[in-house]
Amino acid sequence: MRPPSLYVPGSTPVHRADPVTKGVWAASLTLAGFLVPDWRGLALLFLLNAAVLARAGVLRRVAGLVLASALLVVTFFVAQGLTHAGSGEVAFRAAGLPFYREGLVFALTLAFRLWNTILAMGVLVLTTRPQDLVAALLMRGFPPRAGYAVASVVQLLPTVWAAVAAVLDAQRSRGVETDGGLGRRLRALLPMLGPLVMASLTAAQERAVALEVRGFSRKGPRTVFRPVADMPGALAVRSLGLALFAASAAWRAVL
Amino acid sequence: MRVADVHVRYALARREALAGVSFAVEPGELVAVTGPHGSGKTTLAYLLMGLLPHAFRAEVRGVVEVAGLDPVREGPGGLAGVVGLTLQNPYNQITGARDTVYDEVAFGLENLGLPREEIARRVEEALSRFGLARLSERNPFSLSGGEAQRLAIASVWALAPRVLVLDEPTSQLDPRGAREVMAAVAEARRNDVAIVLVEHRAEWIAASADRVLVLDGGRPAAYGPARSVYRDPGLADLARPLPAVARIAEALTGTRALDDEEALALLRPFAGAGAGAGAARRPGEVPPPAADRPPRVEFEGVTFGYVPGTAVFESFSLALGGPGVTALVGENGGGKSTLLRLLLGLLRPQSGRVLVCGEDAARRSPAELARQVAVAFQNPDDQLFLPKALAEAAYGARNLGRAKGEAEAEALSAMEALGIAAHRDRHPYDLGFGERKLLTVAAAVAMRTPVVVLDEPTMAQDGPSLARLRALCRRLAEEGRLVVLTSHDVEFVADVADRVVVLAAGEVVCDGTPDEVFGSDEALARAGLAPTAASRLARALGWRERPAKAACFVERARAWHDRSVGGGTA
Repeated sequence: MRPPSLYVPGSTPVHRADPVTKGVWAASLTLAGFLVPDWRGLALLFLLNAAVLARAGVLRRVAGLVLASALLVVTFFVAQGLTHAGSGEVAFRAAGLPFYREGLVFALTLAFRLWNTILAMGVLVLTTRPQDLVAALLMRGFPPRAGYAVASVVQLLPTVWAAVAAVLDAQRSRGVETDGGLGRRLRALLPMLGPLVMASLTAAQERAVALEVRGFSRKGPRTVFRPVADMPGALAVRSLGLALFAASAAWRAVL
Repeated sequence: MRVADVHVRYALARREALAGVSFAVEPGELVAVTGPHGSGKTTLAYLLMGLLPHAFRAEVRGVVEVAGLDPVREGPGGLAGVVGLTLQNPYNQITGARDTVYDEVAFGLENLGLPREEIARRVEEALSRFGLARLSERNPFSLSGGEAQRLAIASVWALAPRVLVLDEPTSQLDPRGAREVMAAVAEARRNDVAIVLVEHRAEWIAASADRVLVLDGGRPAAYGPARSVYRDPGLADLARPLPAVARIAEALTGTRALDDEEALALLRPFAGAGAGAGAARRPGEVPPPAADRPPRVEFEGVTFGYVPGTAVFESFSLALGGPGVTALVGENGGGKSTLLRLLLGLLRPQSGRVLVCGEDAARRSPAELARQVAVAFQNPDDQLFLPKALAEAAYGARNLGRAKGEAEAEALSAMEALGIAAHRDRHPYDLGFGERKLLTVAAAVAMRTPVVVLDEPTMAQDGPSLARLRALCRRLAEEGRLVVLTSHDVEFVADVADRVVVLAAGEVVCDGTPDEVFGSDEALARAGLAPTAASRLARALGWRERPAKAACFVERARAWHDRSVGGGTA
């Protein structure tokens, strides 16, 4: 079983940057994307994030996510192009229907906001080990239980998928048809969900015992075994991210 | 560690889960706790770890003292680093908090707040001690069962506990994994850790325990040195089955030997029984079923792999058939599970075909194939969902279109045969793991299919349950059904199977009667299997032919003895 982490191992400067700096960058540029009112400004943020991802060697990975959003983006253009008339200037007609210029520009703005969010979060998620992120958070006073919740989601999801496959096999072998019409699928629901829920509860109970045995509920100070130090120049990078956010907010306020 | 007159009653329970239990373990000692299903073994393990009443609501009376601490008062948090506990399922003990083996071991030490240098020292020592150093950068969930169980032990070992409580640590492992874990236990013991081992396997208990505590219905039925407990004729079936060597020695000499050395000393006079081939050479041996008789399962030139370019089976052919019991044996990863999934139509061959009772499995959905082949999978919890055991046992038969009364009658009959009929109205999840396992076997049997597949049916079974399973398998064979089972329990396989197919690396490395297979050192070595006790003893006594079954060994020796006495040569 492999964890479903999106992390792409590497040793580029972006990978080596500390999770907090990357977190500040991702949050600042994501929020900035929602504040910048013009698609050209958004395109600049997009290019900036793309350059960081290219340096990390994960641009192709994020391109897949951008392509996956294509259907949603097409929906933006169709819906906004047809309904957002603004000044009423028609950019073009298709099948006799008018597509308004302002609507299309607004759709482009929405698309860039979406892509910018994907790229900015990609800087954090694709280049940061979940463990390092949790360690960095714990070092800043994040509660251990919350840290465990973040780390274990990534680790334990594959076990849930494996359980689904095992239950599916077991019930099909007992004569439960899982393919076919809606009625058949509904009838298969309880035999599928029942064991899955019970197995999850059993696993959760045993894992809770394993955690207790390892002193997880123990009171007192804990050690972060792999401390995550701030990268050189962390302050500058964080400041740049925050400055971009502030500039975006100012641009928004002015317009 | 000392337990004196302890009573435990879970909230809302009518009877006590433990009643008047007393025992003690000194540093470096190993006390085994055994007994039938529901006898209180796991409750005892939870009690020692401080989980009662902190994690499970229960009333506890009596004295429990672990390294000067009271677990009932301290709770698991206070005992971390003093007591270590591992459970049956190795994967449920992986915390999910860390993504490498190294960091998983370090996790508990981080919780104790130890300095980083000390954590690193202890982690490296534990990984090295339990043979995990080369796996230190692997994801814990990618480990084999044996490796994961060793990781669980190493993780609690690193906390430097003075007591280790191991709840059936090998019950879900193949022989190699089990040997690895028991080697780790021996290592812990050499380092003066007191060990409480909850275990069913009498051979291991007899070989490794200083003392045995036998529980029955929560009450202590026997407590003392392993040799005296296993030699107690009044112990009925509680600690059964006796080690096979003990059964053989007792049947022939009246004295129970508890290891090969003792048995050989007693059985030396029977060395001549294997000198020649007599009429009584294989009393009780059933010829292997004829593969050309129905019901039949045929694998014809099957090629299958999960990953392109890596075939588990390549042009694999095997015919199973005729009424009888066929055992598939071999190490994990040898192809047994894949073969069963192909048989059940859950996997489709990339080339070749699988015929089940003449039908191409690839042309049927698994649900349609269920009319020909019923299965009890390794993990019972993958299928149980109904609120009553009887309804659960009848569920598969109902899916095949049987009337409720007919399906439940069939299910009840199977449950009676397996000794779990008294649980018919209980919720399946109120039963122990071993009983839930038997319930899935009953559910498969109740489907009345020509082929019955039992995947590791002996897992977590006590002596009486093993005997009932064996009798049920034989009954199914007599009814004309083909039972295909997988098991790591070589004694059970030798006892129940007509035919044994040894799989290793996707190939059949040996196929024959239990005598032929367990007499083949080469096949056993390739499949990582140990010979049966009868086979070992026959070899040590210099017999030309080596019976696999303890009963066959005894009958052959007796027949030789009777002839010798009759001829005046004994």
